[in-house]
Amino acid sequence: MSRTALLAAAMLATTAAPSLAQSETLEKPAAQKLDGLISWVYDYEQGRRLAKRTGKPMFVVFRCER
Amino acid sequence: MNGINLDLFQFEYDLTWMSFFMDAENRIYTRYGGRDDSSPESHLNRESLLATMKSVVMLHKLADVLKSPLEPNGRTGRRPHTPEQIPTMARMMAKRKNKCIHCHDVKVANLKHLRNQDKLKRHMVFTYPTSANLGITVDSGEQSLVRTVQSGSPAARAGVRVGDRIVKAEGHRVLTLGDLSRVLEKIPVAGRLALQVQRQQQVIPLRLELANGWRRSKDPSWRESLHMVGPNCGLWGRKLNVKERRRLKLKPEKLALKVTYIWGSHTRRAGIKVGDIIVGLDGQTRDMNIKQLHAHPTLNRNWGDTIPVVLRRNGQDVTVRMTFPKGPPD
Repeated sequence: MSRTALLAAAMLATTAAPSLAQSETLEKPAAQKLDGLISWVYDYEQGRRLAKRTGKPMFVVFRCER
Repeated sequence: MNGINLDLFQFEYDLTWMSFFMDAENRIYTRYGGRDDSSPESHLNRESLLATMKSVVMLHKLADVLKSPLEPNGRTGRRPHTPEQIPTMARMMAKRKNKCIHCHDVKVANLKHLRNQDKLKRHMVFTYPTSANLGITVDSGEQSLVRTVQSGSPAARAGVRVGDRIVKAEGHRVLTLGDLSRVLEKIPVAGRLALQVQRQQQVIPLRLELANGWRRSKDPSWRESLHMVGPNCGLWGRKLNVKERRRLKLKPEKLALKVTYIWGSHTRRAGIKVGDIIVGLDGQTRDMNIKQLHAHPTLNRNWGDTIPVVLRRNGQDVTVRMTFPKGPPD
């Protein structure tokens, strides 16, 4: 399957890590590449707009931010 | 989870990783994620993720989204329900410097809200059961394919066989363990589950009888929300290493936790000190980590109960009695 067949929209959402280890801001990080392969979008509505424009499905990830 | 639409993104909030495959209209193709008691990644691997992605690409071409009352698809006809709107959330967050709402915060806030209404029951912590609760393990790659069926389990009694492919549960399409868990979440503490399995060329309907307690799992100590349903020991500790155990003549299969930090006033009142080695707790002497140690009273004792704690101190075993607070902290 082509890597570009899916749109990746990740939302930093969950963590079990101690709060001290984290940033105190709620600003969403800009889209960034992971291992140079996937451009993650950190804003769900932005991801939706991109999915609509490109006609691709979304892969929405909630993950623990360590 | 700040601002997330909880009507749309419903999942096991105790998880550390969960994903959804969706279209641009908030409609879900499938869920991918979930875990058993053994590991946060027990149901996650490259093979099953790729298999799911391939299925999603096909479903997307056909616009074949999940269509069921379980999937509100964000269209509930009212304003999205967000974590901030859970009545207990504001108070929880007010105590923190960091204003990020974590997934488990959503569950904890919901359980707190139920507690405030006197509706909290211990079993409510066991959300989103998995195939293991039915007595089934599935293929690591194709998560709808049955690999083992535990004898005597609800699945075995209903006639599920190794090699069956689960195609529907309660009429809802099942591609992944995430999809199955979503359906299982809606089955009550005792109830029935209608499964459709594909066996060779046939689709066979099966009905599983799920007796009281079916949602429980053996070791839920990984659940961040567990502390909501009962008292804990008010301390942190670490397991002794092999050398330390040998020196203290403590067998590997036996409980041996060194107290490293105490936060509970009930713990201090019991006379437990940093540096003590816990070798017995309420009759439990098997090897446990600190989360498992907490889970025992949380699931088996009530607020206000008194339990014995055996400590190895200066080479001697000393038994102290710990009385839990009368009720949970605010």
